[in-house]
Amino acid sequence: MHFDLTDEQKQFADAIERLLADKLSGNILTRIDEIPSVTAALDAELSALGVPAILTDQSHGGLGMGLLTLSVVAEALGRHAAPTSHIRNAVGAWIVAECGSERVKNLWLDRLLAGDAKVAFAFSETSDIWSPDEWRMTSAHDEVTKRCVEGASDADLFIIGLEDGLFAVPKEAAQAHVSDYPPLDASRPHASVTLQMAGAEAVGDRQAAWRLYDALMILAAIDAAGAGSAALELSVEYAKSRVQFGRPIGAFQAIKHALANMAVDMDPVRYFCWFAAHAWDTPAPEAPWSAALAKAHATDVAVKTARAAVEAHGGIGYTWEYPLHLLLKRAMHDRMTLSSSNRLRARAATLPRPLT
Amino acid sequence: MDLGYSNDDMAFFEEVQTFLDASWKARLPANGRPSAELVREFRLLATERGYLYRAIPKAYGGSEQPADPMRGRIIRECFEKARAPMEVPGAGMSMLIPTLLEHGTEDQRRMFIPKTILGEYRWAQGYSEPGAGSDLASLKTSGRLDDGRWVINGQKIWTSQAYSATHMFALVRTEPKAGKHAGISYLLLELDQPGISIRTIHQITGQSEFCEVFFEDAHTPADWIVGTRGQGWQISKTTLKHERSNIGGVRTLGLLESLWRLARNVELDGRPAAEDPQIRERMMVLEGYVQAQLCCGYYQFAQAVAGGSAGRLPLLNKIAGTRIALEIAQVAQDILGDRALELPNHGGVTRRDPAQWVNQIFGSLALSIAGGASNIQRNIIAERGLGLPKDEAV
Repeated sequence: MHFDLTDEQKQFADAIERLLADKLSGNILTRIDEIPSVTAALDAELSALGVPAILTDQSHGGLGMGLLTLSVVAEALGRHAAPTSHIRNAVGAWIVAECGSERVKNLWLDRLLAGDAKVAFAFSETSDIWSPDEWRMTSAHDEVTKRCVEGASDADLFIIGLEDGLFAVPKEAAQAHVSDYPPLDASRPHASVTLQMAGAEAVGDRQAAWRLYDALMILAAIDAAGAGSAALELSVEYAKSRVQFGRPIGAFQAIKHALANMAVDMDPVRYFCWFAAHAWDTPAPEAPWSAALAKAHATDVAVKTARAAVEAHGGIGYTWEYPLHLLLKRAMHDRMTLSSSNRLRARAATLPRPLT
Repeated sequence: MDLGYSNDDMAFFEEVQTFLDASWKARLPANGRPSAELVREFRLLATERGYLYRAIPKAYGGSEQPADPMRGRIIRECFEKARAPMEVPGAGMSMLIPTLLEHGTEDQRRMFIPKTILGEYRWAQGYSEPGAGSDLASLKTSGRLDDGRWVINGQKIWTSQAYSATHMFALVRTEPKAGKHAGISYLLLELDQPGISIRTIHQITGQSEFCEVFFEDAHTPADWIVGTRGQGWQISKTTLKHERSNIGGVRTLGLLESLWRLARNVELDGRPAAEDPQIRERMMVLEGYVQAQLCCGYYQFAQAVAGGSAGRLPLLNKIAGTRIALEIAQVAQDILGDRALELPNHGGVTRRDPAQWVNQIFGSLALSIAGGASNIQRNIIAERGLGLPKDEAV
């Protein structure tokens, strides 16, 4: 029994962390105009590190490093509120490899694994209707419209969740309806999409859809954990340097206790996410319970922590120039997509929990 | 990441279970209630086999095993499952023995450790005073050397189980002219003597576990001091460094599982409380916190096994556990409703039905006070864990 990352996973995490610290220095993400070029640059670097191939099995040409390794990457991305399509692409490559027909694999798999094609997942039908059991549209429709599709504007391949399973549609059959209003989380723009179903290819049944959905929930959970933890660390550093009443504000018990409470809530969350990712990799009977509950818990705690971080900062935390709001919005996005926390808890209550 | 056990671990599991089957389960009387004699014999056997008192040298009655948190954990798991007794519980085992092993004289170790691990000496902890709680170093109970013995005057409070203890380890001000911390010594004393009187404290549950202890010219031999004069503050911080085999979160999980049982057994509005959407939502919120704490405990344990550091995480465990227990108490209260309108203790007996949860509802508050108040622990997290500036020295 050894509840820790492998050396290989730690090295991977370090490499990603160094890359992000370098590419995202100087609060560059607070300048909206820069985000598209930053995203393109990050995508290129993360492709070079093999991120899109992490989840896909070696027998299909991937790295076969598992969801736990991809989660470690997702945590670092969350910590930096980093824009990239490669978490989606890694999961997309995995589902195509596992469940796609030979034709679909031949068309897409190499491009996805190399990071040369982008995936978008189309799930939501109406507000808070996200998960496989709630999908009502079917492949019998001529066209289906889905909401809140992340990365819709520049996706090459759409993977659609329908009552009769997962289907893949290329961008030529998709029409994105981009809102006039900017996205809450600038690192993850989304749009409604209308998809023509003629020629859609099946890429998995309902059971595969839940595996896919669980993986995405775990990745959202640890992304939020990264954002929440970074919000806490920013607050700690700020409390050491900001002087009021002649002392650093971190010398006052009011601030100390607020930050200590944030650490008590936030620090353990990543280990729950590791557990959930490991359960998914195994796969263990408690994997669905872990995925749903980790998503609910991690995103709730991350948003709570990031909000408390704004309060601990005072006025500077309410400005666009200071990067804290990026982390808050990142966690809020993670929390509000892929089902709300109370729905996920109701789901988890019906699923087998881990044995102890 | 590997959540299974190795072949070596599995072999050790089997070894411990075979021992427990033969030496505990097979010897339990039909009514399932072991006699004091059986418990005593079993502990001796288990110590001989190297399962108990692992950090304590054989010369003092221990089993002197190399530190191995994984084995420690397997032993704990097997013993708990078999409901077999582990080490004699109490402050003697958890606090005094580690202190003697690190700072005691050879005579002190031989005199006190063997009888403590047999349960013949039961220790009370004499730290807090009416005027010295969170600010413990302001304590005033005095000790002066007179004719080859310490003469002690003053008062201790919140002393757990003092009425059933035989001895006390106490922090006493022996150097009145030295500084606040430097004036304190660590003394050992017998409780059964004319200069000591003990009064139980009536708690909000109606029970009495804590005591006040009064010293009026109480005596103890001059050499019953651990360390040197004025070293007591430093010495009192000694803890068991041997092996940490307990995983934070396991006990909390047990409490949550009890709450689920309560929620399934008690009806709200004609159906089990566990099916009430609001109760279920709050319990699933708790599941999230408990699972996070448990996984964080697994990680800390992995670091202990590997000899690494878990950073600031160990500092967080007490508050995390306390907060979960407080919320469990709130949910329990809402499940019980007007069943919680009576105290569950009467004439020294606690009722055995759902209303006994009232004790947990109050007891969760004690958790946020005992062993260092939560707000002091938050200071410690902030200063040692987060690196924030220290409070002005007091």
